[in-house]
Amino acid sequence: MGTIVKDVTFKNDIPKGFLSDTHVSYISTYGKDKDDYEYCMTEYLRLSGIYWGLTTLDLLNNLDKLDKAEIISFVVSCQTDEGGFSPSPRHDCSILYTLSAIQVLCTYDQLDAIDVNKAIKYIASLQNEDGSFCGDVWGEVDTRFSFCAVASLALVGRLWTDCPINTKHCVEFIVSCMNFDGGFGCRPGSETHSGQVYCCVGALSILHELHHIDADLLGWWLCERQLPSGGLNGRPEKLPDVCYSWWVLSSLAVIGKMHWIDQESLKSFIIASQDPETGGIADRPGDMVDPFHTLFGVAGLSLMGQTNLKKINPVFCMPQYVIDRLAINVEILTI
Amino acid sequence: MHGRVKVKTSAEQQEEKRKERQSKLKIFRKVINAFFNKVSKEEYDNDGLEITKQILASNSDYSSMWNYRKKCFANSEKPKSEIEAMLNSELTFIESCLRNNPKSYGCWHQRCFVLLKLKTPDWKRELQLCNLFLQFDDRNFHCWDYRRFVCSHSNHPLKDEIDYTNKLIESNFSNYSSWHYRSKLLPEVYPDSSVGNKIAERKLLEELELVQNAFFTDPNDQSAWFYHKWLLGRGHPMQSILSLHVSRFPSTLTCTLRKPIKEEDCQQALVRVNGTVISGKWKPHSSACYMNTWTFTPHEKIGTGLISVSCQVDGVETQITMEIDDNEALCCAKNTIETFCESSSDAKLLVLEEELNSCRELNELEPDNKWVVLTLVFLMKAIDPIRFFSEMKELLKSLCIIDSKRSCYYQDLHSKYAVENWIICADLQSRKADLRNKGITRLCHVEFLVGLTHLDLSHNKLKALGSTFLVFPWLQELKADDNEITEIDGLKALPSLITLSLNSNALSSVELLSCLSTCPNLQHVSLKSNPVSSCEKDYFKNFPFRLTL
Repeated sequence: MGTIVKDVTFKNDIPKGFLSDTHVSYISTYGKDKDDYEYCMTEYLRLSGIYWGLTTLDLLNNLDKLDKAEIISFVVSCQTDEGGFSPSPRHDCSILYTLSAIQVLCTYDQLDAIDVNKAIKYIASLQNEDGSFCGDVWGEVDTRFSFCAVASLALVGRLWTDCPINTKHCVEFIVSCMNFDGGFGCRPGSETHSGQVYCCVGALSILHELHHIDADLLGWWLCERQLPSGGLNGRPEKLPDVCYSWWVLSSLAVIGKMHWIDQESLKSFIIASQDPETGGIADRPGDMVDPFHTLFGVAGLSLMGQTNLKKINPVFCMPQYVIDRLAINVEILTI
Repeated sequence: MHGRVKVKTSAEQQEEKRKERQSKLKIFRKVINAFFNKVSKEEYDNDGLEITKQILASNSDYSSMWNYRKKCFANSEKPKSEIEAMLNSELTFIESCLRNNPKSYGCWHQRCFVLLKLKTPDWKRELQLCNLFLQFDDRNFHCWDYRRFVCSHSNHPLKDEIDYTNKLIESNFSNYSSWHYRSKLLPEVYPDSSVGNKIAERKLLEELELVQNAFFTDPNDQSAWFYHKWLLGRGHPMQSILSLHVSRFPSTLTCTLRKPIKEEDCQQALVRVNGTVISGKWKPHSSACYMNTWTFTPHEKIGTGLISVSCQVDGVETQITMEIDDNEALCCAKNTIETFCESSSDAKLLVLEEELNSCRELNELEPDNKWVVLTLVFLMKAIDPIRFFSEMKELLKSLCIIDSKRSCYYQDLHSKYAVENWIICADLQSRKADLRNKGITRLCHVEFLVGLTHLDLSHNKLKALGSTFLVFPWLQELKADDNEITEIDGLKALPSLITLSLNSNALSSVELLSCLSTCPNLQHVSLKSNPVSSCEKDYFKNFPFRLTL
């Protein structure tokens, strides 16, 4: 019995360079046809889709390709009576889309367009006694929701002044999800997963509580996500994926260990996952592209210093200039 | 969209697919509209349950529809037995959805919701469902989480869960999820009475044997190696006071802790002079929320005699006592090998030595297996990091070649061990540190070095002097010649720094030096053999210190 490393190999016809223009056209035309099948089938996550597309275009210096007024009025139409945001009008609200709405409006510097206080009340109403957060009124608990809450409050400027949540308990809950490998899972007892690591490390960074993390141990687990192809997986013995590459890379950046992986080969993996015909980036070379992986591919390249891209903030996955404009200081470890 | 391979298709096929999708979309829209109609009329009935089934069966991420169904069960005014039957049929429906999409957050949460609503939930059946889904995919973390949910609600014996992981591991050692689960179960089932160890020693030794079998069977599977590292102990340091500095004119006390603390914890710390508590105020060394170093300004002058600081953080009491008969004194806690790794009993040491020998054999058989080499390093570190240091250094060097993608990790790991060994052997109270020629790429554990007046880091591989260096209140002389330094943004506002030597580095621009102007006592900076040395002398004229270029 022997473990075979799960990985991908590149075919010969992979794209060579970063195809900036094709990505701009892929994202800016995505959703233009309201009868497109893919587009209609993803209505249940539309608001996050807008955040992915808008952030990608901003990083690519082409934010003006989108209809700002239309997007803002769509975001406004997603705020429900509870104060939270639904992915599309008529759907139920959740903390996931509440963060997406706030991210979009912060990038446009248009937070005033919505009832911010009502959104804040909604977020605060989802905190439990133990510090954890539910995703919505139905009670599912997950550290992803802790990140959504903390990031949203930081973006609307209510984390450090007049904070409506118990941050001490919030931190305690996140720390209770830490595992033997230094990583984090969905809930206490859950296995470490890179997406969850991103959320927990991000929340602790925003809260300036990174000292709870064993950076050497977690950094080791994270850098072991890199496979021979250069791509990173989300858990041991899994295939590489562009979105996991972002969760891992950004977590490494926050704990000051980005140099523990081979950045050149990760760049090659992302470049190889582009589709030169349609534009956009897929989860791995040869697969179908989508806006989600396109953002995380572009964000990864930005974090690794790709030229002609705006700088990304590793915690919020938003352009750094937006975070600077909001005067948010996240904690970043240096050794 | 994960794992959807792009297939090249002809124009004809594309047209066919488009038509098929258009008709699918038509039906989809009709159902969706019917659904939202129900919602807007607040009709939570069987009709609505049927409508939502049509979408959820193939698209289980449609959370508004799961919510609608939850409302149907929660708001129903039907007799209890009927609701119970509805909930049971919901379980059958969820199971069919899970077969289509075993990783749907919505499905698994719906199942938790239903189970908690049922009057008489059949937890045994749920555990069997978990067994089934873990048979399909033993890494499905949703199912593992659901399993833990079932166990906690049914008071299922955790020992049986250990047996379950035994079974999975026996059939396939490469099962990270099972090893992870063991790391949670063992400390619960076999707790250790003494501090430090997480598992009772007898069990720990058994576990070491199990995991050794695993990595001997399949040395390329990383799961067992990660787990082994955890068993060796992760050097989770206990809170303690590392050093205390007392100055009488002006009267201040500076205390450094192993782990950073918040102001509210620090204000609880008590300062005693000759046994009498004195009042004053603690201030952090910088503006961060958590700090290792805190300065105490007493309301009255400090005299000579015995001075002690004690504080309690997170239930741990720590204390340091020193005698002062001079104007200034520094007291550092004694460091030993145990400062940086957990102490081992004789029985454990024996097991670790045996493991070391087995791993050496495995290394001979498979010299390029990086996991074996790294585990040799970890074992040596756990047994005796000083005795084995030169061998550890060689092994880490070889890892940089075998596993070049992670060479910086191995170099940083070596740096950490080198600094730890130096701290263990050093006389920190001499306040001078000679860390030349250590091959280090980073300076760790600076909290141990806070009291230094002289620090020499020359002839290493440091790339930056970052914010780590902000911690030195008494540092007068810093040398870091012959490194690879490109940034020095950590050398800011160092209050005592007089001399700085950074010859033979890679500093490239004058702007990089601007932070040095914030060091109030800096008199001399030497920057020979840096790219910046060749700049026009004019650029440097505004610096308030003497420069040697």
